[in-house]
Amino acid sequence: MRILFVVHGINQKGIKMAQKKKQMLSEQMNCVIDSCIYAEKKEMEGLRLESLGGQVYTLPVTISATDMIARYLFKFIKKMQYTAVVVADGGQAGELAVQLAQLLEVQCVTAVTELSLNKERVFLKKMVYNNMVCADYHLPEEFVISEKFAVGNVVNKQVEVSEIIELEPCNVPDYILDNIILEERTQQMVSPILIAVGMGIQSKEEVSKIREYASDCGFSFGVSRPVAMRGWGDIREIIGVSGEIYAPQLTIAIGISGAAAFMIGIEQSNYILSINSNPDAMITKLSDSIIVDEYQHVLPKLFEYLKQWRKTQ
Amino acid sequence: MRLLASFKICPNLELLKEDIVVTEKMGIDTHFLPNIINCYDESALELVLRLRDKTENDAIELSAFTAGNEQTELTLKSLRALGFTHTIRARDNQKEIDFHPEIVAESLASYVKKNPQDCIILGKEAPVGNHGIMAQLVAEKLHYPSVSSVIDIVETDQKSVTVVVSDEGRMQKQTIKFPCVICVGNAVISKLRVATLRERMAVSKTESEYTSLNYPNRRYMVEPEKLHPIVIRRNCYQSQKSGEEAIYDVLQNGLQKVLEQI
Repeated sequence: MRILFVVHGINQKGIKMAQKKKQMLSEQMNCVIDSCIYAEKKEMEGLRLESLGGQVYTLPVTISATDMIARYLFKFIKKMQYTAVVVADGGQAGELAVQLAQLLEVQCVTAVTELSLNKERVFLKKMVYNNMVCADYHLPEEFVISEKFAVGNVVNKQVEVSEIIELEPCNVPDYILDNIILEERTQQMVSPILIAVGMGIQSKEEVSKIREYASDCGFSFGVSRPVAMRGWGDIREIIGVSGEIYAPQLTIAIGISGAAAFMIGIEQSNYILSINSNPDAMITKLSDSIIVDEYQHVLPKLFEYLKQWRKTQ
Repeated sequence: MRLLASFKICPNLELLKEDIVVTEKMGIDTHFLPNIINCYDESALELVLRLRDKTENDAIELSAFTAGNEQTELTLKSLRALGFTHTIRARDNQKEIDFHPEIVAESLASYVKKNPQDCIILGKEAPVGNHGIMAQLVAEKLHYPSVSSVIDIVETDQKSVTVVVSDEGRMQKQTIKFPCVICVGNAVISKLRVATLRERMAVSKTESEYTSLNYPNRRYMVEPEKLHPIVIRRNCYQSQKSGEEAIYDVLQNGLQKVLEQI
């Protein structure tokens, strides 16, 4: 089996994560894994790829149009005779995986959480029913998947320095008549503490106040999907299956019900403290500790304590 | 110009707490849950209507497509009331489509081949399977380009549509040539408008169009072999105090140690 691990290289944080996942994949599948990083030229220049190990191919793109990238990768995969493709988690990972699978005429499963090989059969798991149920699948040795591996506890091992080979760039597809960047990507703050707010927070102003507090302390901040859909949070702040997955040391979940689609975004936290006025909320069983009270009675003092703690760091 | 929005009716899983029972037919029992339009598809439907509002009414012909049983008819009627000229249902009385978006994609593509559309719009994923593959499957079958992570549809002329795409934190406005497939992600426009009584009465005697399911080559269809509910538990310490006292209580019972380790 030869696997190509495809990564959208938008920043170094993504490459570090890809390194852990590739390491995990290599141990589980016991085979050669090469990487292909696709990114715009400006982003590619900022990436340090040597730590990925093995062969690393870089594919410069002008726009991240997945069907164009899929067509390009299809030719490369056929030429290099890879038998399987794993697309690293990202905004368009599933789309790219499906398009590649259609071109390669192999089976495809998206958002795979676990992958392993046993006697030439590939076993995998993914979450279904909005993350409430786990589904087991078997695939033949030729497949394409997009992954959502949990790598919270994986420690990067030293690997041989990669050989980096640049491929021919991928052109802008002709169906895109115009492309204007409205807002650039901002560097996501990585903090050991995440503040997450849900619909238990009763107004946009309250959400903004908590966001500001998190920013002042250098903590990560995120919202549940319903909060963002109401316009109280940015869509880039969404936590969960349709947004970011976090693995902080501490998550403080404020007014969060505990819906499965959200919880996948914080379940890798070392410790979850919830503040919720409903003692029967689902999050009660999914937290390490819970304060059952109105958040207005708790947050001011809690934030003051954390601010003092922050100063001592 | 012809726009088609595809949507799925699914059980409201937000109301499912702990009563998860895996049935013999490899699903979970959801018969007691109310049905809703899948949230991403709901955004897609409303965005299409807003696009129609922005252009001259006669310039756009709207169609809505779904696969399902008779439980979808109420939604289809509402959509006709809102201005969808054609509502099409691919009959699925055996719930075959639950883990098989490939069947829905094949059925939709088959319909579009007979009834060409300039733009097909659908949401990025839906329960049960949460595969997120419909848009790309439809695009490949029709040889249309697809654009995903669309969060807004801004405007259209006879030859193209302009959308806002959220690409891993970057927002960009793209103009896409017809024909194309648009896949809607986390759009801020998330709720479908409600038809007025007058609008409903105007379509009271209309009916949906029906088609049968079409099946792709089974070789590429993937089925789960087993389902099991997720049981995630933490040993939750529930403070019996409130306010400031509760904070000190949880600090003494685990939180302080966590902070010391950071």
